[in-house]
Amino acid sequence: MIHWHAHSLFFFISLGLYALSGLAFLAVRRTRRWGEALLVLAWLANTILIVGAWVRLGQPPFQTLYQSLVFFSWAVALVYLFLRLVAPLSRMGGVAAACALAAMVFAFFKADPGAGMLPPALRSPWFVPHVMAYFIGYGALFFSFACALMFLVMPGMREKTLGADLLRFMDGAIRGGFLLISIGLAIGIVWAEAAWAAYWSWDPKENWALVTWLVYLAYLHLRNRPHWRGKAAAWLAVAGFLAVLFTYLGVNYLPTITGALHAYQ
Amino acid sequence: MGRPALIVILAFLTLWAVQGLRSGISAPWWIPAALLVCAAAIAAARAMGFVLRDLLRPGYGAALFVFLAIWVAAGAWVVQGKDAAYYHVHYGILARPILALTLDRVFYCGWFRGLLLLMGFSLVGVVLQRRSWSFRLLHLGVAVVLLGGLVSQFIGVRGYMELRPHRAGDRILVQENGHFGGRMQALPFSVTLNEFRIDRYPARVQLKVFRRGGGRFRLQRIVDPRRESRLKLDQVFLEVAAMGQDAAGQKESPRIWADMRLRKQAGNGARTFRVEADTRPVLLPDGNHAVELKSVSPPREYASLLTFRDKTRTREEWVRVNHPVRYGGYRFFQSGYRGGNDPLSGITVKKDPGFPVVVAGLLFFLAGLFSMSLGRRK
Repeated sequence: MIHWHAHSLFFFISLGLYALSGLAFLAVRRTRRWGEALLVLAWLANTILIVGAWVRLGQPPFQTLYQSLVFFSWAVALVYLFLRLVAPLSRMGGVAAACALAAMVFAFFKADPGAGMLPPALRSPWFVPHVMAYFIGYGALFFSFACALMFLVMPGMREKTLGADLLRFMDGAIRGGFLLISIGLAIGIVWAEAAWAAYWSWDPKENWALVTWLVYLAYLHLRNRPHWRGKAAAWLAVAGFLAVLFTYLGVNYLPTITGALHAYQ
Repeated sequence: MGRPALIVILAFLTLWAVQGLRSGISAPWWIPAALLVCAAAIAAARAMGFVLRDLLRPGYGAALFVFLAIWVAAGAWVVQGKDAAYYHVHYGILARPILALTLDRVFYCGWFRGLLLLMGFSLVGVVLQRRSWSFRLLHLGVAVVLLGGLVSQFIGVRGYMELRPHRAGDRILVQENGHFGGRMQALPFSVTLNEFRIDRYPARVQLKVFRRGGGRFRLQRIVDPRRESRLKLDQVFLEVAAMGQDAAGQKESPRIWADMRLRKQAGNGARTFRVEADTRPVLLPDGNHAVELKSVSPPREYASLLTFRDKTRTREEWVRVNHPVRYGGYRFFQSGYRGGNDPLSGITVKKDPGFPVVVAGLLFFLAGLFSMSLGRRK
C-alpha cells in the first residue's frame, strides 16, 4: 500500500528530474549538458526534500528505509557532481541519474508513515555524521562499481586510454569511499560504546560493515600488484559493492537480525 | 645460512668456548645436544623469517582479510551461542558442518582469535618496516585497535543490573564471551534507583488487523487511521467514523477510542463497534479477522536518577541513554526499562580499560589514512 502523503511535492519533482536527466544523458551527445543541468536541479529538489523533512520532523530523516533511500539518491548525485569537478568522465552522469532514480522509485514503494520517532539510542550527536559518512562513502563506492561493470561488460571500454581512465576513476572512488566508510565505522564504534555500552557487539550489521571494509582493504592491498590490475581489480570492486548492498539492504533478511541492534523500522 | 643462523652459531661457539675454558672439560655430552638445539633454532628462525616475510607481503595480507571476511560473514549468518539441538532443528543438514567448524560461536573460537593474532603480528611487522610515517601510523592504528579489543576481552568487565525504585543493588550479572552466563560480581559500592523518568513521543493510533490461521491470530497489516479512513479487507469494510483522545494529555496511557462501522460487502446492514485502547483483538463477524486499536507512544528518552554510596561518600547522578556516568572506576549506562506494576530500570555496568586504547587506535588509523590520502593527492 502506498502512503501518498508520506511524500512531499519535492519527492516527485526530484524523481521526475532524475528520470529526465537520465534520458538526456542517454540521448545524443549534445544533450549531455542538459542532463547535467537536470541532475543539478534534481539534486537541489532532493536537498529541499531532505531539509524539509528534517524541519518538519524536528530530527534527521535517516531513520527508515524510505528516508535512507532518499538520502542515498542525494549522496550519489552529490558524489557525481563532486567527481565531475575532478575527472572528465561526463558519461557517468547517466549512471548517477539512473542509480538515484532507482533508489527514489524503491523509496516510493517503501514509504513509511510511521517515521518521525527516533528511539533514544539514535538521539545522539554521532547519528548525523555516522550516516552521512557512510552514505556519501556508499555513493563513491557505487561509482567504483559502475566503472568496474563498464570495464568488465563493455569491451569498447577496455581500450587503452579509456580503460586506464576508467580504472583510475574506479581506484579514486574506492580510495575516497574507503576513507569515508572508515570514518563512519570509527564514529559508529565510539557511538555504540555510549549508546549500548559495547563498542562492538558482533551485530549482523556491524559484521557486514566489517566484511565490506575488509573486502575494500583487500583491494587496496592488491591494487598495485601486477596480476591484480585490470579485470581482477574490477572484479574485486564489484565484490566490494555487492558487500555494500548486502550491508545496506540484505542484512535485514538474515536469520540473525531478530533482536539485532541495527534494523530499519 | 642466513643472518639468524650465523648469529645463533656464533653465540653457541662463544658459549662453548667460555664453558670449556672455565671447566677445563673439552667436548662434554651436551655438545651434540646443543648442536641439535641449535639446528632446531636455526630451522625455526628460518621458518619464522619466511612466515613473517610472507605475512608482510600485501598479497598475503589481502588473503588474510578475505578469509576474515568469510569468517565474519558466516558469523553474521549463523545464530550464535545456541545448543546443538537448535542448529539441527533450524539448519538441517548444515548443522554438522556448522558445529564442526565452530560457526556457532565464531567470534569467540580459537580459529578466529588465531586469525586476529596473525593479523596483529603482520601489522606489527609492517610498523617495524622502513616505510613512510603515515603508512606506519595507519597500520599501528589497526594494531592498537586489536590490542584494545584484547584488553577488553581479557581484563574488561561488562555486566547488567536491574534496579527497582528506592532499592539498592551492588551486584551485576557478568557477560562472558558475548553471553550473560549467570556469574554474579559484587561492586565495591551500592547503587540505588531514586527516580525513573520516561519522556514519550505524542501518542499515535494504529489499527492492527489480524487474520486467524493455524489456531492463532497472525498480523495482516498495520494501519494508521488518520491516514486511511476506509480499510478494505477480504470480506468487510471498516470505516473509522470518529476518533478522539483524552484531553488530559497523551503521555502515559491515553484513552483512545474509535467507532467503527462495519458492514459486509453484500450490504447486510451496518453495525457499530466501540474498541478501547489496548484491548484484545476483536473477532469480526466473518470469523476471520480481528482488529485491535492500540496507542503507540514510544519513548523519546528515559533516564534513571542513581545514588552511589560507598564507605566515604555519596553521589547522585542522572544516567540517560547515550550519556553514561562514571563512578568508582565503573561506567553506568541506561540500557532498558520495564513499566507496568513492577517497574525497573536496566543498567549496564562496565569497567573496560580497552576502550580508550581502541579510541587511540582509531585516531592513529584515521590520521594515517588522511595523511596518506592527502599525500597521494600532492
